[in-house]
Amino acid sequence: MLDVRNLSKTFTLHILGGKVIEGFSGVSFRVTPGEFLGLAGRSGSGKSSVLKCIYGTYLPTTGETWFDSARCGRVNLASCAEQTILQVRNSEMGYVSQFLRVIPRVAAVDVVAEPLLRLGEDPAEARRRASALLERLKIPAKLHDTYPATFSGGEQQRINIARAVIWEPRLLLLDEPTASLDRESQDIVLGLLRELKRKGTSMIGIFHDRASMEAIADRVLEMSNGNREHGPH
Amino acid sequence: MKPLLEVRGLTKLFGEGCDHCLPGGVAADEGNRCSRCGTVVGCGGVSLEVYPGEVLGVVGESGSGKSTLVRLIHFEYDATAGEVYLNNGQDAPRQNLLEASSFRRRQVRSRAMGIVYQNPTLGLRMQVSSGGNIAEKLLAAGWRNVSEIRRRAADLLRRTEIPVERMDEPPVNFSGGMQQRVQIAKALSNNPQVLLLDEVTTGLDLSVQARVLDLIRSLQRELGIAMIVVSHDLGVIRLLCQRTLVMRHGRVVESGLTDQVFEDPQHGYTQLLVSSQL
Ligand SMILES: Nc1ncnc2c1ncn2[C@@H]1O[C@H](COP(=O)(O)OP(=O)(O)OP(=O)(O)O)[C@@H](O)[C@H]1O
Ligand SMILES: [Mg+2]
Ligand SMILES: [Zn+2]
Repeated sequence: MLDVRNLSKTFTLHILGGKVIEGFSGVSFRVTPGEFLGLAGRSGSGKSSVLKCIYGTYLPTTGETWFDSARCGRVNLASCAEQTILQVRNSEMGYVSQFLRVIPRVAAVDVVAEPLLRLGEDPAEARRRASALLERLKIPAKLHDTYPATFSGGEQQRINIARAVIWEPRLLLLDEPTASLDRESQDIVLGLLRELKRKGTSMIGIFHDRASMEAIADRVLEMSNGNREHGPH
Repeated sequence: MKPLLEVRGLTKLFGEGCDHCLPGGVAADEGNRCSRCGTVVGCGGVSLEVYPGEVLGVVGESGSGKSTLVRLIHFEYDATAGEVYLNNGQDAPRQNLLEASSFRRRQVRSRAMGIVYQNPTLGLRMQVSSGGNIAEKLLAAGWRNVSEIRRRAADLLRRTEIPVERMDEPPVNFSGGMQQRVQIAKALSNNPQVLLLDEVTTGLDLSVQARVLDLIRSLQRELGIAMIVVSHDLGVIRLLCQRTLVMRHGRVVESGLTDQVFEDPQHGYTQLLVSSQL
C-alpha cells in the first residue's frame, strides 16, 4: 500500500543565513493494507516530519514514497504532480494532527460531515452519520450545532478524529491523535481505529504514551536510534 | 484532468524598456524597476494553471504584481508577452487569447469570467442602482429579456445577502461589506467559469470580512467555480486555496500546495513572509 524508501528531510532556513536543520534521514518502511505502523522516538527525532513528508505538507529532501492509489495507480507522492496529491488527499489519504485546524464558523457536525459531502454523500445522510459518530465519541448533542472554536482541547481533538475516520480513507496518518484525551475517550478512539483497520485502512501513528501505541500497532519503527525496526509483539 | 485556465510566460512591462532591461524586464535580483529607464516589471514570465473547481491563491507583498496578473488574465491590459488559454470545453479551437481579436477577448470575458476588485469603484458604477450594475453584466453576456434580467439580479442579491428591497439603490448608499457583496453578485451573474478575486476582504472590519469569506466559501462549495484569490492576508489564502503562488517583484518565486508553501517554504522570501505573520 505504501512503500517509503530512503526518505529524508533537511530544512534550509534562508532567513537565518542558510542554516540547515536536519529533520530525519534515511527512513524506509512498508505498510500493507490494514496494517498499523507505529512511529516512536525522542522528541525532535522527526516523527511528525515523516508524516508530513508523506502527506505532502513537507517536500522530502531525498527518497520516494510509493503509494498504491486506487484512483491514480502506483504513484510516488514525493515527486508526483500537485493535482495528484490533491486527488489522493481528497479520496484516499487522511491526516490527523494533534490540533484541530478549525474552519471558522462551521458547526461541529458540518466539519465532520464535510469529507462525506466532498465524496458525494447525500447531505442529510452525511449529517446523520456525523452526528452518530460524534455521539459515539461522547460529544454532547447540544454541541453538535455549535462552532468547535470554543470547544475544549479534548473535544476539538475528537472532532478532528471524527472528521478523519468518517470517510474511511485507505491510508490514515495520525500524529498524536489521543494526546489530550482522558482514558475513556482514548479507548473509544482506539476502538474506532481498530474498526477502521479491520476494514483495511492502513495507518501510521505517533502516540504520546507507549500503552496506546502497543494496543494498536502491528509494528513500531524506532526513530531515535537511526530508524531501527521492532518486530511484531 | 485538463486545466481550465492556462497561463504561460505572462509578462507586462510598465514602461518603454531599454537595452538594459528588454525584452523581459530587469533581472529578478535587481528588483522590479529598471535603474536606467524606470520600466517596471508588473508581471514577469508568470505561468500557472487553474483546474476545474480549484481555488488558486496568490500572495506577495504590496507591489509584487498580484493585481497586474489578475487584470492581465481579465484582458484589462495589453500583455507584453505570454499566452492565456481557457479550455472551457466548447468546441472553439485552442487559441492563445492574447492573440485573439479584442472582440473575442471581450466575449470570453463576458461569458466566462467574473472579477471582484478590492476597490468597489473599479467594479461598480456607484451611482447606478445595484440591480442596474448586475443588468449591465448580464446584457454584455447576451441576456435580453428585461424581466428575466431583473429576476436574476434579485436572486443574486438575495444569495449574497443584500436585502432585495434595496436593489434599486445605488452602491454609494451601501457599507463597504455590502458593496463587496454587490460586486460578488455582479461577478457571478454570468455563471463564470473562472472567478478572479483581488483582495476582496482587505480594508473591511473583521466581522464584515468574515461574512464575505463565508459567502465565498459557500459559493465555492455550491457552485464549484474555479477561482484565483489574491490576498496579502495569509489567513484568507489558507482558508480558501488548495494551491498557492508566491509573487515578488512581478515574478513567481514559489508555488505549491498551500499547506506546503506555509509549513515548508523553500524560498527565502516566502520564509520571511510566513514568519512575519506569526
Ligand atoms: N518546518 C520546519 N522548519 C524547520 N525545522 C523544522 C520544521 N519542522 C520540523 N523541524 C525540525 O526538524 C526536527 C524534527 O521535528 P519534528 O517536529 O518532526 O519532530 P518530532 O519527532 O515530531 O518531535 P516531537 O516529538 O517533539 O513532536 C526538529 O529539529 C525540528 O525543530
Ligand atoms: Mg511531533
Ligand atoms: Zn530599462
